[in-house]
Amino acid sequence: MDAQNQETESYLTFKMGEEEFGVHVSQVLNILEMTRITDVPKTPDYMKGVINLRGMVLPVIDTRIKFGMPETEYTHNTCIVVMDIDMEEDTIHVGAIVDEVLSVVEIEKSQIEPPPSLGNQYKSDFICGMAKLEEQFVMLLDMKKVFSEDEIAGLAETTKQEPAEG
Amino acid sequence: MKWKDIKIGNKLIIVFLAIGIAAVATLGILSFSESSNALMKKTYGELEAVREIKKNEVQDYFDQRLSDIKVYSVNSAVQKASERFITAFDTAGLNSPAYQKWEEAHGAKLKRYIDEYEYYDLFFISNDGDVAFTVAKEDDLGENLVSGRLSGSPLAKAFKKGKNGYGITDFSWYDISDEPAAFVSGPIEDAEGNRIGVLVYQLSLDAINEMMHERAGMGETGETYLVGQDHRMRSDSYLDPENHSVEASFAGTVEENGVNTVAANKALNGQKGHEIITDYNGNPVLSAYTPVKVGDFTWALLAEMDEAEVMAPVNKLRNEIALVAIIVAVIIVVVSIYFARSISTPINKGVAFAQKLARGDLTARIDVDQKDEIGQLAASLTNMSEKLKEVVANIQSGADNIAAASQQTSSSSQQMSQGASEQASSTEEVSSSMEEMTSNIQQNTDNAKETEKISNNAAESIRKGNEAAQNSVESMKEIAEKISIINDIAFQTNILALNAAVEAARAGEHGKGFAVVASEVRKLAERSAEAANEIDEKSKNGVKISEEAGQQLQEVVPEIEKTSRLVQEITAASNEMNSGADQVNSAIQQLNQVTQQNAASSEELATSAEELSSQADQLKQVTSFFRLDDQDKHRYQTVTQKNIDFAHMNQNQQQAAGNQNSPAGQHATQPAAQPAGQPAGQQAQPAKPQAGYNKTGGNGNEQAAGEKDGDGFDLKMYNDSSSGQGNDGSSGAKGKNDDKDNDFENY
Repeated sequence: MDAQNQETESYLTFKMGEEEFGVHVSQVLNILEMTRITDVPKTPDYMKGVINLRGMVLPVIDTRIKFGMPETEYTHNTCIVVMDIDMEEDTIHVGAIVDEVLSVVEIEKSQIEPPPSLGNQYKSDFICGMAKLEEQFVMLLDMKKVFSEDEIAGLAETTKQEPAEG
Repeated sequence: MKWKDIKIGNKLIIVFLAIGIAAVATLGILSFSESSNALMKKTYGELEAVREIKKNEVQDYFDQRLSDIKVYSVNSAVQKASERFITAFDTAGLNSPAYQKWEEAHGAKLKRYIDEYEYYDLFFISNDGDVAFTVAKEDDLGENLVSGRLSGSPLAKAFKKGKNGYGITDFSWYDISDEPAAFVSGPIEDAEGNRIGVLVYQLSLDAINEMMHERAGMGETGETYLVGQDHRMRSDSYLDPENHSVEASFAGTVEENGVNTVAANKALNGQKGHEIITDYNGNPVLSAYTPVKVGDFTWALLAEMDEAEVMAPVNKLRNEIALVAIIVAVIIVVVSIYFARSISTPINKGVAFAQKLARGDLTARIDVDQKDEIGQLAASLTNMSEKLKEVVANIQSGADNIAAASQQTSSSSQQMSQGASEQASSTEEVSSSMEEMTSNIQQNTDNAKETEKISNNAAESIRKGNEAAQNSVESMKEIAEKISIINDIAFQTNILALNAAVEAARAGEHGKGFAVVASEVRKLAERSAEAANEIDEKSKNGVKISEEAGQQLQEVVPEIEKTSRLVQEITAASNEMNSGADQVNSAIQQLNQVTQQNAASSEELATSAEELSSQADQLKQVTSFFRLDDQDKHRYQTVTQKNIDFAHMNQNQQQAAGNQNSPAGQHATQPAAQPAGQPAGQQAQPAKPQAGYNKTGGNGNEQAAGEKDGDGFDLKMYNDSSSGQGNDGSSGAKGKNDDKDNDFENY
């Protein structure tokens, strides 16, 4: 009814450090428990390695390093969120290590505010908006912008090369 | 009398005499025998020389007589004369003119002839035996020797011998001549060898005697003489011309007037030699004898000399030696008497001195001023007497001291005896206290044993509780594990729910219902996770609590065990204490016995001391046997007193000012002590028996002081020992308790 008129978007929220982040569910493919990560040499330090996802090689990155935060300490709640990143031509799957997966929330578009332009500790270009949920801000991430073109290409390379090398 | 009982002087005289006389006698005997041997040898030599000379002379004489007759018988004048005489005698007889004529013609010549040749007589005897002619014209003239009265006479023998040849007839008594006669006879033959008659010479004794009486070198008693086979003389004896002339010898018997000596017999048996024999006079003579062959018979020629004469110089020598020996003996006696005196006089002095000492007279002096062994002996005796004086004086003063000391000892030991009996009563009190203590200790032991049991039980229980706590911890841990599985399941469920929600969201409107279910599932999962977390926390708490409880119990266990051990040790200690108390008890009983023994001993000591006192008196009595002169007494006794004084002074000094044993200190005390001791002693002298006591009395003050000190010391000792014993019991117990305390502290 009105609700349908009011456009809502579903976001998967997760926690990294003290902060909560949100990713549009369209970009989330799966949530995995933390598993053993096969280390790949000569990769950037945020690149933790690869895991086997249903016969597919999935590169895993440590989001905290990528975000300039101290390296993740794996806990009971640490999970890998498998992301679906659309490139111009094809889609790349990337595993991002997060401290804790919170829930899937529906956020009205009106609730989403643009990211602050200055004074933020993060680069604001990969934050597509800030949503206020129960007195707390959730930073909504655009995963496509989190990784630069080259990085995505590098990730694709890794993904492609892995089976070849494996 | 034995040799060793003879006095030294006499011994010396005897020894010296013996040695001197032995030397002189040996010398004398040696020189006597040597010189007598030499003399005898010389004399024998002389005698033998004489004997040989005489023997030769005798033999020469008879040989000459034989050759004489041989020459004469073949002389033609003799032949003629004999023929004439014999013919005249036969035809006309002696008184015929023819005979007278021939007598005148030849008689003087023949007479001259026999005188010249020292014949006694000359006979012409006819072949018939008629004595036709003699020079001497004795009674035998005209007699027939064959048939007449002279037929047995020596002349007849000579005629018979002469008929057959030349020969000598030995001497025998011839009555006609009234003396012994010997004849030399031989036939008178004419140119044709016919025997005219027999020529006989009667030998003269004088010729032989002349030979034998040649006495050059024969001294006073030396002689040579001849003896015939009939042991009668053949020459006159020089020594005994009365009885041992040839004449006397033939006239008398062989025993009286002959020679039947050993030497004569040996010579007559043809032996030659010399020896000492007894001669016919019965005197010992040196005799050199030899047989002398005269015609067909043998005489003995003896050259003899009286031993007395031979030995005269030797005997003189002997007498001189004897004289010298006597003089030497006298000198020896004089010298040895002097020498023996010089030895025995000081020895006798020493003997007298020693005898005086033996009688206890120590005032005796010996006065010998010599440096030899005897002087040394005298000096040693003097030294001995000095030492003896010193010793006796020391003994006397020592006896006084002993007497005083023993009285002190007696009183001290009586006090000691009293003290010992007090000690005995104290020890009995201690003994009863100890018995009470023993029973207390026993109770202590029992209590400790009970405590030990209890604490052991407690320790056991706690150990069990600890185990239970451990078990509960284990269970809690298992629960926690299980809960974590639930938690995992919840987590996975959550993730599944999230995935479902993501899928539902991606499905948009179509997934709305599914999203609700998923969120519901998620909520359930969250709740179950919460519950699981809660359970987990609770169980973790429980684990912690029960672990703490276990730990605390664990901590309690060793404490209790320690308590148990300590209680055990207390038990052991009280056992030890018990036995210790028993030992103490028995020790106290021994102590009691010892104390009683001490009491008895000290009583015995008291009686012994009294005995000692009486012994000291006796000793004084015995030593009073030795008489000391006052000077010595003072000298030695004051010396010993001084020694005692020194001892006291030194003690006092030491007590007063510590060690002042420097020589200066002693010298300083000496003069002070001397005048004090001496006058007291001198005053005490007249009353002799009391003197010693007085003197010790003089010292008695110091000794009394010493006694007091000694008593004080004794009492102190006694007190110390008694209180010490009292304390020992308690302190010993304390010591043990202290030990225990220490043990606790050690734990």
